[in-house]
Amino acid sequence: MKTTNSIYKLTIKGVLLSVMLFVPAFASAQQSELSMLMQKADQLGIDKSYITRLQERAQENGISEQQLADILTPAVALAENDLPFDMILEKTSEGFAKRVPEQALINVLRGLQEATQKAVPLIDPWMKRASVQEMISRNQASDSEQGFRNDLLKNTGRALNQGVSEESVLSFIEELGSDEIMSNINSRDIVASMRIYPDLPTTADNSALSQQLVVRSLKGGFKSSDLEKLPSAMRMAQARGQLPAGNIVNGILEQLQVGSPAGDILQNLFDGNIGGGPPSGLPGRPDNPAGRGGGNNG
Amino acid sequence: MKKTLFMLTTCILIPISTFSQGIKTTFMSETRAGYSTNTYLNPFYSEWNRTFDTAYGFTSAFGQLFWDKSRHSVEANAGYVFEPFLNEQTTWHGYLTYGKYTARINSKLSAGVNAGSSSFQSDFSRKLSWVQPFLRFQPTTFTSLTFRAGANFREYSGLQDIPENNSQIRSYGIDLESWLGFKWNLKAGINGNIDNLPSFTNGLAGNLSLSRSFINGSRITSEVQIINYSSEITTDGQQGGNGGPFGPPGGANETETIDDRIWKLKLEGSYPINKNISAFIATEHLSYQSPLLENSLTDGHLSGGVRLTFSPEAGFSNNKMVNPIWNSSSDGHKIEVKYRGEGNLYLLGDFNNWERPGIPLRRESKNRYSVVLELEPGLYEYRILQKSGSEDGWLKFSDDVSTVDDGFGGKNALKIVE
Repeated sequence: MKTTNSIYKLTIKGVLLSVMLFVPAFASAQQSELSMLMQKADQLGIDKSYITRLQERAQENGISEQQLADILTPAVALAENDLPFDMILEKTSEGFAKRVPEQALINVLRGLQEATQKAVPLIDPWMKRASVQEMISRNQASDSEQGFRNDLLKNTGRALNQGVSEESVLSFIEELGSDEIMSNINSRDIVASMRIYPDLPTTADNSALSQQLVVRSLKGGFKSSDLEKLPSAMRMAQARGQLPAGNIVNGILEQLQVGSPAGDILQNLFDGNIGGGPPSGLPGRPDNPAGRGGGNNG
Repeated sequence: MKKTLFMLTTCILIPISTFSQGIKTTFMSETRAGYSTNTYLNPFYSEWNRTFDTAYGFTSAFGQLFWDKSRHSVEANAGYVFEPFLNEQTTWHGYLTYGKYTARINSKLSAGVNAGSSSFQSDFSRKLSWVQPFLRFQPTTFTSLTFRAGANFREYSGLQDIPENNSQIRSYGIDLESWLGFKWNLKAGINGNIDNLPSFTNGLAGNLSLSRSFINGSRITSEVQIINYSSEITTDGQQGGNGGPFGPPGGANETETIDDRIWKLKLEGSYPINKNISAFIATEHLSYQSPLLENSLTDGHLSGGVRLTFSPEAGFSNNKMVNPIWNSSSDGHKIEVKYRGEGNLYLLGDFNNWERPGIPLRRESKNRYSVVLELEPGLYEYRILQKSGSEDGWLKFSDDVSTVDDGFGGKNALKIVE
């Protein structure tokens, strides 16, 4: 019995010794992974104060250093490839604010990283087109070529991540890249178009329709701030069984609240379209002895 | 009629009240002054009377409730019209109620029914009610084709020397609307009387309008309308009248079929003074042609005024649903939110790196919160956080707000700054 106790005590001591030796080493390895990642981020030009703030927020949210390393990895991977990474950092901040579970956040960030990388072979050749280059040089005062590329890659990545196919993106930028469009718009209009594209209600089922809508909006002289209203105008039109184009014009050109049918209703009421049917008869006709014109309104 | 109106209003408003969370309210009003040589051209009057050519005033106020869920939407409109004249003619006034139910069958097809009634009076009264099912086909975002058919009931009373007159018209109509880009809007339609079929042209009214919208929100609309009538006239040899006030426009001395025609040409221009008020001016020309007349009768109408439209959040809106309104000026970009719940509101988004608790929205009045931001050109996503003590929660955006997928299963509002 005494021997058994001695063996037991020795085993406990062994386990404790192992814990004392290996756990700090493991923790140190984890810490160094995060430290190395942060060092790398710093070298790649990622704002150190932003990363530090993310680290503080991660601690506030009870996120472990390993999880923080996983969270930062997609941004660093994009920066290593000279690709826009700020979207990942912004999404991280958003995820912290919304208290998104760590693993869900990591999955979203990885998805965005992969989608942004997939956007590169779609966007880079398109940007070399003469019409696009001409538009870029025309708008260089307000937006650099690199800035435009980054913004377009970010938003194309978002679109791909939202389930828009690469073919759909390709045909969309093909439409946008036409000489007619390019001669009338600036880089912000393109970026805004790509941002709203996946959120138009028709994109999932009929992407050609969404493309047509955006392209005609740009041809119609709508600017990026007008494009902002397209998704809700279309949603409201669908909900009401109305023609989306009319709803969009009401919302944008007439600056009414998007989706408000008031303009149409007023017009219809005053034009006498409500009530249906032709007048009951001409003045003085036999079917209208009083000579009432009997218009079909009100 | 009153019973029918009550039933109709009840049928529309009770289901709406039941689902009051998503209801939108809109108020519309129009004030105009005009001059017409035939009251047939007066808004909401449409009764042939060429003797009272005079200036008139016109004021209307309409309210609308709209509810939608999934593939169904219901709207109810009710309003009052007041139309005084500058001569001895008695003021024309009355109410109109109108409801519409629409079901979206798929992305291209919707169906529904509209129904309504009105009651107007001056020295006589006219009551109308109608029910009209419709089917709308939208092959693209820019074109729609609507088929409709229904019944229209009319009742006149108080006419001098003429007994009360009730009639029912069964009508059909086809409407085409097409947007050529976002500038040109083409509308064409026909209205016919089912009882006149198979004679297609008898009672057929056709209209064609073309509008040009400008980027500042102005709009010019031209419209031409033609209405055909075929009818058999049997006279006892006496001469007919001269077309007014309520008499026939010409005479005949035997039974014969005549084809009459009314042409109407209209031109209207409107200009938005702000997002709620627009000013307009319109002119109309009418020509009435009949084989019984040596010359066609012509009339004109000129009017102008202002239209007011606004959608208050109060009443039926959900406390947890907001519709932020942005206004940009040299001072910055002001976001304004109407909210009737408890606690304080904070703005979180790309403009503050999504830092909690966020940018506080200052309470301007009982239900109104706002803050002015200085924003560089770009795209911003944001949400509004409501905090009450230790509790907090994200406010949802109403359908009017453009939102984008946030990747976490929710929606962010989008603000694009030029």
